[in-house]
Amino acid sequence: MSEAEEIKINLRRGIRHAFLEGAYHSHLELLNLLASLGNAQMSIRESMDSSRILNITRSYIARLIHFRVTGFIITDEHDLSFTPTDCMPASNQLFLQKIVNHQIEAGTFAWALKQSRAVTIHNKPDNNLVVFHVMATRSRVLGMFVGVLEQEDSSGADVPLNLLSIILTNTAYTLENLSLYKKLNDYNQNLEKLVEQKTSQLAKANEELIKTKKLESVGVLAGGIAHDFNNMLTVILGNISLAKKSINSKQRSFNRLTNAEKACWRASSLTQQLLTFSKGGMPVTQIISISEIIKEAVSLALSGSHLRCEPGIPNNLAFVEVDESQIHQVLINLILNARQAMSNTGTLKIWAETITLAPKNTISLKEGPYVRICVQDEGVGIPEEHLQTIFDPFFTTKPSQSGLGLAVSYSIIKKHNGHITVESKPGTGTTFSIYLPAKQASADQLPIRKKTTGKSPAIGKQRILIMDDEEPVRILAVDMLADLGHEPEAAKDGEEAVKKFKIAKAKGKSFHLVIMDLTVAGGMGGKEAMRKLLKIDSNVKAIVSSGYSNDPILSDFKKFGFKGMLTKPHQISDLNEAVNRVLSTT
Amino acid sequence: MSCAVFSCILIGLGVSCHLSYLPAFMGTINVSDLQTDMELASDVKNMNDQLLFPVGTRINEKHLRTLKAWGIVEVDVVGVSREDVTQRAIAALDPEILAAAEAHVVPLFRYTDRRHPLISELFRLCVLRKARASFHEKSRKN
Amino acid sequence: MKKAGKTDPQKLICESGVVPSLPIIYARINKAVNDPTSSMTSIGEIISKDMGLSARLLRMANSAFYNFPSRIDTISQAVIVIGIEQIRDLALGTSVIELFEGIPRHLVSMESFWRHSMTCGLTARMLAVHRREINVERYFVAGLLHDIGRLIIYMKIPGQASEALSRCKTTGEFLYQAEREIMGFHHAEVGGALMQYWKLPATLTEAVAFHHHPLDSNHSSVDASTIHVADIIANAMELGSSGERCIPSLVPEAWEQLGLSTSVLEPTLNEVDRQFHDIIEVFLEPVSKLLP
Repeated sequence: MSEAEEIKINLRRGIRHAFLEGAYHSHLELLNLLASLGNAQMSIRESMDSSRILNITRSYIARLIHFRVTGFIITDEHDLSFTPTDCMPASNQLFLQKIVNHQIEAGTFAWALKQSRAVTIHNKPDNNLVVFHVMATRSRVLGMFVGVLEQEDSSGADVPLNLLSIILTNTAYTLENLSLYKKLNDYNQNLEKLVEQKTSQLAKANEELIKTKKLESVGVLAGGIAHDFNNMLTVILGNISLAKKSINSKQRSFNRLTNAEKACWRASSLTQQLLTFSKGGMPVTQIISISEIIKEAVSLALSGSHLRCEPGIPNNLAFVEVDESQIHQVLINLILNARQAMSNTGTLKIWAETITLAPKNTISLKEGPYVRICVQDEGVGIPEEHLQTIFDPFFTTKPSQSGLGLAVSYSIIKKHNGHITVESKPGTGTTFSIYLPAKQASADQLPIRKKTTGKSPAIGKQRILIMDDEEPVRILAVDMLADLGHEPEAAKDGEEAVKKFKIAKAKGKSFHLVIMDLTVAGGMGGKEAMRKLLKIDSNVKAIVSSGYSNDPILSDFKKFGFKGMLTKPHQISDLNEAVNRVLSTT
Repeated sequence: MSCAVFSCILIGLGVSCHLSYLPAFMGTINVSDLQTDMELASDVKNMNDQLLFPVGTRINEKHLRTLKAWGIVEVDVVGVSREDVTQRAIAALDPEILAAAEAHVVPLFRYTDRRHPLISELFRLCVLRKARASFHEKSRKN
Repeated sequence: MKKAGKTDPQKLICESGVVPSLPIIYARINKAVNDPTSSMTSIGEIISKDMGLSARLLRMANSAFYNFPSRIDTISQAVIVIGIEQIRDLALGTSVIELFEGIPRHLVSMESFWRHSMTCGLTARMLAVHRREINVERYFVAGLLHDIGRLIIYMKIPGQASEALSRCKTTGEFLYQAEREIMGFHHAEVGGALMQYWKLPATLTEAVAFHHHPLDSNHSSVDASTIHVADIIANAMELGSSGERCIPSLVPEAWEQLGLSTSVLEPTLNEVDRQFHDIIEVFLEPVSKLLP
């Protein structure tokens, strides 16, 4: 072989060698590039910023094809318009924008959007070769890549263009992931907020529940105690009133007994509060004029203080249908609070008026006529943040108080279909306003409020059967009835009462009246006994008696066959009145 | 004449449509004919079914550009009418033609499972396609 | 079960008689495409040398097939817009028709056959577009050639082909089932064998060979599934026929493999209709000129 030949062969070999090497190297490069595509995904967690992803993409592409200018046109998430985001070099932004606009007008942009591959276009105006490549996932177009080739480069190497597809599809998925990740993040944060809210709400509700539960158990306990206490009070009161009858009113001991009586009444009102609270029962209502109650409450609550108050009550004040003792309680409570707030000095104003509420009033009561009673003090006032919670049970700023007063008052007024509102200015004073529905009534429907009376002999001696499971109460009642001039007999429970009634009837000496306690421990109570008595004698006259003034049977006694009712503790006058009333009915 | 037929069919569908308004109801126009201030009579969606513009949009320059960028070819615009909308509508609604089309297509699908979602959709489209074709043939003959 | 005189698909291809070989122009283009030193311009030049092919390609480029917004006037432009690999596949598609002549007319109408094949090709391509495939022309070619095995059968063993056809009419089987019964193989396998013989890429070969049972393909079940589904749709569209009288039954997993929603069906049908009417002449013209 000649030298020339050898050189030729070697040259050829060399060229082929170089070519192979070149190709081998570029393949390695490409493989490395592809392997590192995952890095774009990592950047999502580092920063929620699409420009980082686009920059990484740009660096990949730069290793494949040399573009003079590159740009990314991102689809706006909200209005789906195309906004050029990124241009490299930045100075060519306008130039690129012109090309893109031209191609949008020409329709090639839209066409390229639908292809899944690189599309090479001759940009006619300036003869540039431009590569468009959509960035899309199966479900969504994220944007468009635009690259302007070097003028001379119209190489047939398809491989880089195919790889461009892989890179840009990867970018598209990364961008989609980013937006999903952002959405998820937002959603998560919202969720967290929501959970926080709900948790604190739940905690509050739980607190309320615990309070209520506490209240309930206190209530049950209190109710039991109050009941027994009430019975004892009945005995005390009864004995006192009997004692009073046998003393001359001018004697000193008479005063002492009167004081003791008053104290008993106060004690009784306390137990009533407790009972109301524990049972939360329905008021036993009557239509009355409220003015007397107001006056009584005022004098009672202010006794012993330096405060004076003349309640302003118009003569034509409307009537209300209320449970006297409960309203009494409420007024006492409010006035006492006012008294304490003023620490014994200043002016306390109390007044009542008839008003009409409009259909859409701020108090959210039904429209119509109401009686409004206002108690206004000049005390320290109530700070605004407490105004919301003063009616809550156990809310009190004074450690010596139970905190039940306002809660009970609120509940009583609510049960009367009324409302209590409060207005206050710290330093100036507080005004409580009670709204009670007004009732039409003629004067003769009103009950006559009696004070202590003596006998009422009009009916004459009657045979009266008294049933109560408490011995002292029984003895007292028998005494009282005897004192009133009647022929009393006692029974210790419903069964005995029914038995005695039967026997008496059989003997022809039927009882004219039966007074029965409602609640009998471990035996037949008044309700059932009444049923049995009615079967024996449908005309039987009976009075139901109970320490729970709020028992629904008391308020609806007629339904159960009774002709009257008595609340314990009762004074002899109440007893007399009830007996007379019932016996004089037919 | 076709307007009258169409109006009958529309009324039959319970669509309230004043006869006097018929000639000028909404129709589709090419995006190339679209101009600013025209109002869209129905939603415009892209090929991924994403909403671009809702019904009632007043077209401005930016909207036009976006429509072109997405390659939307036709839009439904208020106040423009187009004859062949009625044609298409009639073809789809004539029950006789539909029945004949269905009878023709059913034997083709004899050995396939028409319960498969792809096949049932294919069946539906084939019936419509056949109905349209028959209708065009009929109208050409007339 | 083999009757006397049965062969297997490979033998059918290689045995007596001339099997059409790939057009030379295709080989040249393919070589150029695979050569990293060639450019778009050089490929364009190769194509331009074949007048018929150039004409067809330009018409395709300007048709609804591409729907390009402006006119494409030169081959080099077409190469740029359409893409190099794609042009190569398209060239294969457009030139294959000329290879098959002289098939007995009572067995199949060539025009009807190519119409169906074209529809299948267009449908397969549309399905690939929806799946965001990079090179969708590949699917066009696969769809176009999916029943090519039938032509071989009609050419080489017309007797058995005729038997299969009449058997269908009585038993109500699918034609490909009848083929298998009578010949021991069916047209898809023959088509696959032919493409192997032509040394076409395995993805193309398998897509054709397994289009009736796509899940059996080892490497390209997605491609085969695409052709499988496209064939079903094409049959439903009734644009020509290659012998089946009813729509073949669907293998449900094939549809699932594509990962598409049934909502793509309507736009696909519309597009295929549009493109079909635009380019069917481009394909059929030279052939129809030859028909009596």
